[in-house]
Amino acid sequence: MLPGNTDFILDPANVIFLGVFALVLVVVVGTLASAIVSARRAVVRGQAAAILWHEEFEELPASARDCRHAMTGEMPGRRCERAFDCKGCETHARLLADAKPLPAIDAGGFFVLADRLYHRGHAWLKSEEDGTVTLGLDDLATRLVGTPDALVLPAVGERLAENGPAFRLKAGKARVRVASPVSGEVVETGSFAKGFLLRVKPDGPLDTRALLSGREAAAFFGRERDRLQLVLSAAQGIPALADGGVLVGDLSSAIPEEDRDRVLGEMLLEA
Amino acid sequence: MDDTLIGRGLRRTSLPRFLLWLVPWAALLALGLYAVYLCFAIGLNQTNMDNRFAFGLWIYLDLTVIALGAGAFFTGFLLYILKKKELKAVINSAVVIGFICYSGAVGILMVDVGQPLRAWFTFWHPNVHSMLAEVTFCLTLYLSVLAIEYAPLVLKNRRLKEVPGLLVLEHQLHKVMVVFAGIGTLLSFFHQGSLGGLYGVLRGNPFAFREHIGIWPTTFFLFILSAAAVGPSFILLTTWLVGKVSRKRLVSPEVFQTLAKISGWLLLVYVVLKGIDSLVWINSTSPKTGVQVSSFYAHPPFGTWVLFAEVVLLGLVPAALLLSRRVRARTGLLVLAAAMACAGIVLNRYVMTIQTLALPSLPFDSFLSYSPSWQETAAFLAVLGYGVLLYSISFRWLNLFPEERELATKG
Amino acid sequence: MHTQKHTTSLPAHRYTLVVDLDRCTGCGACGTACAVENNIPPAADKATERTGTVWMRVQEAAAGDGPATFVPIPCQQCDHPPCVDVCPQRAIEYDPRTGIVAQIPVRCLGCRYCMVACPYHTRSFNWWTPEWPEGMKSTLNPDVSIRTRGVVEKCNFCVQRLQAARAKASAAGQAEIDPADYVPACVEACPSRALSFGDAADENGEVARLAKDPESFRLLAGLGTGPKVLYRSSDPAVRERLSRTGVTRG
Repeated sequence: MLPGNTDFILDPANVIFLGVFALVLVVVVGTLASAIVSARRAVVRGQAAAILWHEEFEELPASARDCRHAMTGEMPGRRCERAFDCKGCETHARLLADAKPLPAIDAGGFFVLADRLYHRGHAWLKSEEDGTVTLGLDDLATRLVGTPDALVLPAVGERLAENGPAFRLKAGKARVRVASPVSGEVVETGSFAKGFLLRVKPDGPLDTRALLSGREAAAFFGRERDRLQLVLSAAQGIPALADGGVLVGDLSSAIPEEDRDRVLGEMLLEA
Repeated sequence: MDDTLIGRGLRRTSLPRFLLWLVPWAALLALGLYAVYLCFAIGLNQTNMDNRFAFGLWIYLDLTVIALGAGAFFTGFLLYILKKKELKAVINSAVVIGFICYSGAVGILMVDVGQPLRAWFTFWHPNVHSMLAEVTFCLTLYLSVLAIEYAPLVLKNRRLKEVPGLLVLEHQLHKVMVVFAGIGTLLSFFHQGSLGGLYGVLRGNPFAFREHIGIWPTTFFLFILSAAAVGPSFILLTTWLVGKVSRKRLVSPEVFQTLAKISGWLLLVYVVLKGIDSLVWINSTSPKTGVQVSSFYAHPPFGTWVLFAEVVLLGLVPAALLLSRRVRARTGLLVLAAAMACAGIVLNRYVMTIQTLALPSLPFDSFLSYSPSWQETAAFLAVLGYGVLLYSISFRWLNLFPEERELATKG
Repeated sequence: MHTQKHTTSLPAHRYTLVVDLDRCTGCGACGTACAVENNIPPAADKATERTGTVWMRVQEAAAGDGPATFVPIPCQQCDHPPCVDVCPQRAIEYDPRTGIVAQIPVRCLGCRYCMVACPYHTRSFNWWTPEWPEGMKSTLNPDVSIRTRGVVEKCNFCVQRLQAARAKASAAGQAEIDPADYVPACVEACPSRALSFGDAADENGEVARLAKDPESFRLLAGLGTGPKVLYRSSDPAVRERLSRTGVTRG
């Protein structure tokens, strides 16, 4: 039956035994192969960043997943199940259509600018007249990071993916990426002094439905301040964020060194 | 220094201290590899096995670690098929332990056989009626499945997951993990059983031989049941041990309760069935061949206390303890009960492998003794060294205990 | 030796060894002749009685006060061999034409499961690499392959002599071999003629007659292995003692 195997016959016992094992082998190899093929296809189609974002989202603690409409008081207690993909969310579309006036909420001591849109990962996006957008780090994150040891910006010409890494920061023991609010090509790099960190030419017409602005952004910062207190409360030696109700100026100095990485990661939504 | 490899929010000891911890285990592994080299270069005369004690410490070790490593397949079955979500907290650790146990066992087997390069003969000239052929097929496939289950843990390492392709692969593997868990359960069912079947089919050995249900001796089913029973206990034991050594809280207490209850019930069922099987063996199976069971226990130190210890002291007693809410409420007692359950299975495997060969078969034979040579012991300890090394590295750089970060922040 | 599925009108043979325990003096000539015939290597320096290779073992069965009985125990060539069932590689084959259980050393993995399964302990493992002193290789029997380290071996009822007998018969144009042409080395060598050999399937033969004789018994008959080695003793105490299954004390 097989080469070099003259005394092997396919009696029922042999057929059943070898058949079952062949079947199991085919299922194992086939399943593994299909996973590899799907993975390759997802990378080729540029879906890697979206998948990474979803994976990170799964690892976030519950406190990081408040729905934007919970923060404004419209749907208290609601948690996002969609990795902040407001574009595809029916509830968000419905609430936008209803457009009720939003109650005013304290911005928690943070500086919120009316001319820009805010990403859940604390980057801001500002549309410029020439069709590009500028990106930067919002007030909360800037104060949290303090003066970074290193700011690793992508080179001109590199591509960013929405929700993928925009740039990286090193501060003390912390190493963290900041997520990009937009997909596009980097046309200019900036600095903290310049007022923006990246100028990006977006892919196609800008879709900013997942970004927060105005009163919503103010509510977001208020909630993020509370979340920061929670994240810090687990640190060694609980620091005081506010001194008599007023926010401490240099937030970064309030964070113990061993916790810096964890705190920054949690606030900037990197697991 | 290796901070970027350590998961965010997890605290691990400094790199120099970690490397220091690895040193004695690496030394054990090195010594064992030297012993293995001697066996390959000079021959199996380096062991104390002989023509009468053809199986020794290594086969005993193989059966034992495979039984203890059953926690991998069984936890996977409980989590992915029976949807016991709380076991998510230990499944990663269980997979690593399973991988260590099975890869160690296969490694030892390669040294144990006289011609390891002929290992593929079993696949090309299979005797499907042989329990050992079944074990060979199942173990090979199952080790591959374990490797596939281990891969996502590695791919989720903090640095590795920044490579887009790797994280996407991990994501896809996770989506189909239930398939591998199911296959793993099927394969484990058969090879755990066949390891018991190795001895239950021995027509020439009334001590080992048992009645058959279909083509399978009762030891087939008893081994599956005992492995499933001891798996959760071993996971409990190792998780507690790792928590103690690393001085961290790794799982919430509910997880231990779930593991203990499952282990306790299975152990109880196993003890009852083993008791019935033993009674049948004593009153029917063995006497039919002309040998009374009492003769098996007439050789010190293997008195009837061995059977009593296996079934009652380290079987019924830990089962009762694991099922007692009061015992489960106290971690010290709970861990002791789990350890006793594991010890019972360790003793059972010893009885099957060693006592079977020690007993005389021809009427003018004598009772034999055997103690392993240093090479055999060293090879066994090499598996232990390898296991601790691999587990330590996994614990440091991979997220073995998903609840650890939350438990650490709760304070 | 591979089992060939072929049609033949020849009746199946049941080659059987008969051992007369009254005549066995324990001299060991059978074992020596076997070693010479079957290319068994000289024992390694560190070999013991439990690690040395022996196909024809002569074991002393003590009798308490009385004289000991010497029991030659080769492979019992069982009709229901436990070893054949357990070998994962089918490295052992039972030939239904002759009843001989043949070991295939080139297919043996060395897992030793067959050794665990055999209740007669007639199998040897090559714990050392077989080595012959300078010049001794010229004494090797060319009809028997030598084995490598790490495989199991055992008595094959000198099947190479059966093959030689068949070749001789077929050259002479005969369908059956001349029984006198197939005599294992141990039987040939025994000085006290304690060993004889024959075909139990031959109803008119000596072996068939002896098998029915009340002074004949087999070892571990209660286990159902169907051994084809027939032991004989005129002493009922010897018969009773040796034909038991299992030991009642250590």
